[in-house]
Amino acid sequence: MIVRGFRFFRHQTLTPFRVRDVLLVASLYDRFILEEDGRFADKTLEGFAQLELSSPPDFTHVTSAREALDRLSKGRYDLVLATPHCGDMTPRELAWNMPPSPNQPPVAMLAYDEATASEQSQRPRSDGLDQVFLWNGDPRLGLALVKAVEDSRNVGHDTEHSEVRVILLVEDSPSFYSSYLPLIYNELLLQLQHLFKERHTERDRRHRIRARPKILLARNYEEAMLYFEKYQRYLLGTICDLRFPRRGRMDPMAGRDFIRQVRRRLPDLPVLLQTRGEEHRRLAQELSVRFADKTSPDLNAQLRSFIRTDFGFGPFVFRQRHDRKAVTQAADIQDMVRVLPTVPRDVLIYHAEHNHLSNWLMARGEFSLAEDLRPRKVSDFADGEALRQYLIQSFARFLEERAKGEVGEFSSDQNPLGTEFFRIGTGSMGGKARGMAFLSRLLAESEVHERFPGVKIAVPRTGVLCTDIFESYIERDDLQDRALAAQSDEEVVALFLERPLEPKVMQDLAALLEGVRYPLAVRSSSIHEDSEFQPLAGLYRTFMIPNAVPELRLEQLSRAVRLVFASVFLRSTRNYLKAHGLRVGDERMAVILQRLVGRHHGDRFYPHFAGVAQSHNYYPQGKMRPEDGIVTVALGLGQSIVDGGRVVRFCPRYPAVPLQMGSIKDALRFSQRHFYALDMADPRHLPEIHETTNLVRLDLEVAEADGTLDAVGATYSPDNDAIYDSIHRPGTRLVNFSGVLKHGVFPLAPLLEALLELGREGMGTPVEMEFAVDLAAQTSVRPGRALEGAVGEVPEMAPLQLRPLVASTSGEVEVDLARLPVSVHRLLEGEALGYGVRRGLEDVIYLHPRRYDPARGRELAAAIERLDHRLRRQDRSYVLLGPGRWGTADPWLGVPVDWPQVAGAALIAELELEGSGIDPSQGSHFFHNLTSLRVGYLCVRPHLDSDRADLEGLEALESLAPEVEPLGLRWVRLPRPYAAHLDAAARRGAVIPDNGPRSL
Amino acid sequence: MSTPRELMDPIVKRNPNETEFLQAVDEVLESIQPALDQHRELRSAKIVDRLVEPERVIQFRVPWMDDDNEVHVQRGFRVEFNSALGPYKGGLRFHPSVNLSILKFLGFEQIFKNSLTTTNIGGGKGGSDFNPKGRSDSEVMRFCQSFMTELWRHIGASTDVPAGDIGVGGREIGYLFGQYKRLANRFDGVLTGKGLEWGGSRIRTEATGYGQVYFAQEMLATREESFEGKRCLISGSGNVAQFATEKVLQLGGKVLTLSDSGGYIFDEEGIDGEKLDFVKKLKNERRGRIKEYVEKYPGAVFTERDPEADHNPLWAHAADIALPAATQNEINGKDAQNLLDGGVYCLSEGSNMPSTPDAVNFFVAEKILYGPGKAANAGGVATSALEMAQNSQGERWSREEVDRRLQGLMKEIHRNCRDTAEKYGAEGNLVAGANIAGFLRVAYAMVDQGLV
Repeated sequence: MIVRGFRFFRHQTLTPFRVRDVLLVASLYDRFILEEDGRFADKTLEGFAQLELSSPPDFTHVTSAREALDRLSKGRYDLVLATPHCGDMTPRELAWNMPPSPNQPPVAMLAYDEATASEQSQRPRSDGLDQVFLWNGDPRLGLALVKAVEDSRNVGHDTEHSEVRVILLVEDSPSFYSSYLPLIYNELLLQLQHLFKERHTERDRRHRIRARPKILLARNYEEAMLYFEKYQRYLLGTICDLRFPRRGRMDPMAGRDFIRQVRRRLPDLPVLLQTRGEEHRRLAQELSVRFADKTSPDLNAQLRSFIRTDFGFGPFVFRQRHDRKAVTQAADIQDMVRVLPTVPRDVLIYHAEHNHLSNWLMARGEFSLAEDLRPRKVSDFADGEALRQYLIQSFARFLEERAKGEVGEFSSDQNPLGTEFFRIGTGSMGGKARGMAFLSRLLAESEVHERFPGVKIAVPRTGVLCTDIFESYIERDDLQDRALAAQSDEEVVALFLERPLEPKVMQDLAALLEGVRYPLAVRSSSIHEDSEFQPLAGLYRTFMIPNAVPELRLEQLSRAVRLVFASVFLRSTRNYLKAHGLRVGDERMAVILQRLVGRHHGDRFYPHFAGVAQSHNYYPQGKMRPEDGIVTVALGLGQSIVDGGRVVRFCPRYPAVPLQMGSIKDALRFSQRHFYALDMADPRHLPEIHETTNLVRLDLEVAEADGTLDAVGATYSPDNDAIYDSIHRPGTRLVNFSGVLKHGVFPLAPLLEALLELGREGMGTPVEMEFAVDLAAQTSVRPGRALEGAVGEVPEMAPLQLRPLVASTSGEVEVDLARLPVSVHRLLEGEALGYGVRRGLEDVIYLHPRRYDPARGRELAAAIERLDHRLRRQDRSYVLLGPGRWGTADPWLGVPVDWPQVAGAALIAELELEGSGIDPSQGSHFFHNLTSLRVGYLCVRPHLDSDRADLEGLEALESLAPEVEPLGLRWVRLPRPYAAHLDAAARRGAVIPDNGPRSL
Repeated sequence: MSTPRELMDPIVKRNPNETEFLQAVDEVLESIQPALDQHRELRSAKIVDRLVEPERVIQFRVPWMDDDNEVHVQRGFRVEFNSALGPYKGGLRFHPSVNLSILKFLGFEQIFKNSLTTTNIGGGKGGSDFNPKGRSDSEVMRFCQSFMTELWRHIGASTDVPAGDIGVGGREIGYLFGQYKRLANRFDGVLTGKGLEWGGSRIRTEATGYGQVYFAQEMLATREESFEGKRCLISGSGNVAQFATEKVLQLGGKVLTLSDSGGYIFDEEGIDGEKLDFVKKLKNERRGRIKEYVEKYPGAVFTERDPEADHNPLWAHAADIALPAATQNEINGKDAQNLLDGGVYCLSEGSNMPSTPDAVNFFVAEKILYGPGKAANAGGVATSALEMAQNSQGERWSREEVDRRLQGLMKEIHRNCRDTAEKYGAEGNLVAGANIAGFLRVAYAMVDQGLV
């Protein structure tokens, strides 16, 4: 599969064993001691909170082992923590008597006297107790205990699957490790918190902390060697006592021997020898390890210093080989790229020889780069300079790769270098931006780049103004209330335009614009947008700004942002939200600022082409299967597709098969003749609420002159009555994408197939993806060199948005339509979208094809809107039936209604008239809304034997007296209720008399 | 059925279930009834019985493989209906609806259409139930090659010369011709509709519009009039209308109107060459609406189509000549009256059946110069014959030469229709003239060639 596995998904599979529920077994007396000394459970929670750790465990107290066993037989616990006196049994006996189960929890003992603890701790773990601790009143002990139990359980899994690092603590004294472990955990977690705070999102931070080094406690020589043998590949360092048991007896030099074993195999491993007495410092020097005196008052500081510098959590300090004197340091990886060129050659070689760089990276959770560096030996390089160049390149490439798919945080004082996706503010990014961020991450983690090496595939640089900015903006001066009270859209817009954004936001926007010299798309991303069942697609506004006049750029941007904010309060939005049980007051808006894909052609800016790809095709033709997907693509900006205008449709699996251009007549009729571009002729243009005001609609000859028609154009020769796949013959120009789909100019079909699969896998549902493609400059159809452009330029495929596409194949189907008796009257029958049953339909608004006058399309749409309102007020949902495509922008193809105008319909039916050649409209924004909101859809082809509603059915409707009849449009009441039955699996639907549930 | 039962019954009996074919036979026989009444020798030669029976029907298997290596089997046909006047000539149709009945119906009509052009071409039709829609270029090519692998042995420049039809355009003709050439090892004029560079004829696109005007010119000539200074109403704005306009301008006439499904424009100053170029660009390249004409030329007036109206106001403007070139039934009885009231006395049909039967009867009764579609738009078929002529002579004529010959053919067609009408007592009625003239040319040739 293409997805290599999300970085964060990989981390999510870490720590499979987590302590959530602790069963604390303590006699009343023991409990009294614990409570007296500082409320163990509460202090544990406190420890979690201090380190900002999520999900602290819950504690359940029982006072006897018997009660504990009873609880264990009924419920699930992740850890049993017993005090020495748990009534009728010892903790060890409790462990032996626990019901056998594959999920048997570990048992730890919390002793409160040293003798018991020491005695118990030297017994083998297989003897029942996993851990023995000594209660010392340290609130962090509970946390350390829980983490130590988790680590000992997870270390095998996590090292194997994610190569997490291991710190080995060799210490036999419970009293010592019970105070030392909390210290180490605390220090480790604090360092990580600090490290990851700099440039990671909250979620990523959490994931990285989960991938922190595991701490293993060995209590004797054998255990230490066992862990060392097993985990030496992952060892980050070890902290080792000098005196501990070996072969069952206390050995005063066990630590020395153990360190020698370690040194033999891992000469560079950071080791801290900690023991009592300064006299052992010499031994440490002999062994080339750091030393800490257990009795020293600044033991904590020494430990902290060791963790920070030797484990690599702090800056990387470059030192001279002979005296270890610091030469320079790099605070982080970005800084490393800056510092590396200045580090003396021999210093560099010294650190390289000792793997210091890879150790430093390991600790910071950057396993992949560390793994890349570690196997390289200094001898692999011709000289120090070659080594330096290699390191610089590796670090730089890593930064570039890491930036892909990351959501960085941006503000005027923090500009995430190289980050392609970043947020401003702390609120939600909204549905659309969330989809984009997800897509960006998916792409960064996928192998799609390797499959298409000549193509740049990435979400264009995107910034998101999070919802908190919207919230604080509309809360100021009661803007929200005033907008809600406004009488007209114009008033709403005026309110927003007279109110500036907050100074901090303006500062951030100004900082953002500093490095940006290309046109921007400013798009809405409301919290409801693009969610699976409430997509609101196309409801809000998108603005494109030229961003070309220095003194106006900020004004253009801030105005566009405020217009997106204002669109929440426009009449159409409010109607829509209201119709679907959403409150305007609950709506929150984030704003996406995205690089507009394309390039300048004179005073126009546009991509070679843009489109929408869907992983599921509701109307597969011939050999195509629904899951082969469908793509709609148009020359220039995607506005042509939003409009439902003339565009090319193809199945990515069968790109050479023309869909709507199967015949010359169809090709002439349906070929794109115009395209859209951003008008750069007036770079001072300020965005207006009507979003397309700065788009220009241009003839194909403009594209031909710009050189953009070459890849997608074709020629119709009237003399020969033939269409040729190039624009190099005389004749009428058409757009059929043959260069791209048939002649290898750009691998659009396989690339989209791969991206759709990626999206489908990632979202776990069929998806819809918007994209734009800009081919490299001077692309021309030259065999074998098709992807070549200007020097250094490669074609760009920019996925713009990913959202779930509803294509459910399950659902309530009450009637087997294939077996429906002929005697049952069908008001309508045809190809269906949606599923389930809509009952109690008594109203039909329909337009007889012979009365449809495209010239009055707009008036008709308004008339339908009035009827819709009227019916909705009466809480009556209705069937809408008419010729051609509902919701198209071109009245010649069908009635140009907007979604909110028909929001009350329960079923929308399109009559496809034979020879009309008009494709049903699924897939446009309009139909995305319909299907997501579970409005039924029928495409009725009366000329097919299988379909009904035919003109006979229409005549039946004609015979009913209409309630009203404006412009040939009729609203009739049916003599009895009907029900619409839709079967998504069979893709059939019918409207038949409603006899109540399951009564047919 | 209005044909005498004794004529139709045996045909129905012999061709059961061939609805389309039977209907065509019925219509033709009805229209030639006056001739049959007069020509007893045709009756005794059983010309009708022989006419309705194709000389040869070829049906064959066309196996082909799609892009997924799946095998498909289609049915191929060639109905070689009548070769009394020359090699069988008629299109190939690739459409899922194709069956023998439909091809017999089309082939039967083709005999008379071809005959009317006064050239030496017989009648035929062919095709397959293959659906090129939704097929890739290579699939279409493989199908065409398989189709021709059987057909090639039955056709030839002097035997049977298929052309294109629905589903068979320049691309398919190319693939078919290529395979024929490979199998026969000959570069023959065995198909028409070929590419301009490899045997196709010039003026094909212009032929119908030009021919429509030439036919009108001939009708005017009978009154010793010409296009010079005449005001013309033209409907439509596609190929036929555009080239009719072009020819009218060349002949000195003035075109006042053009239309599309959204309405029509009326330009009192006349649509000159520059304006026509604008319309060509608008309709052929931008696929825009004719309404945009008035944005460019504000002197003109656009009238939106009113679907509720009982007439088309385009035909109510004062003018001399009407050249309908838009769609079927665009002139009804009321329009016909309006045309006459507006001064129109000459009407030549560029599209198929633009006038309703009411209107036709009215024109015939009023004795205006009325050129029915089957004669006035025969220019398209005629150029096929011209392509064959060029191929057989190994020549490639200039535009002017093809245009000159087209004009000659239209003149001949008109004369033939007029003379025939006169001979059968319907002077000036070119409707009757066209029907009978087409039939008689074939019938006489069959009699002359004996019982074959």
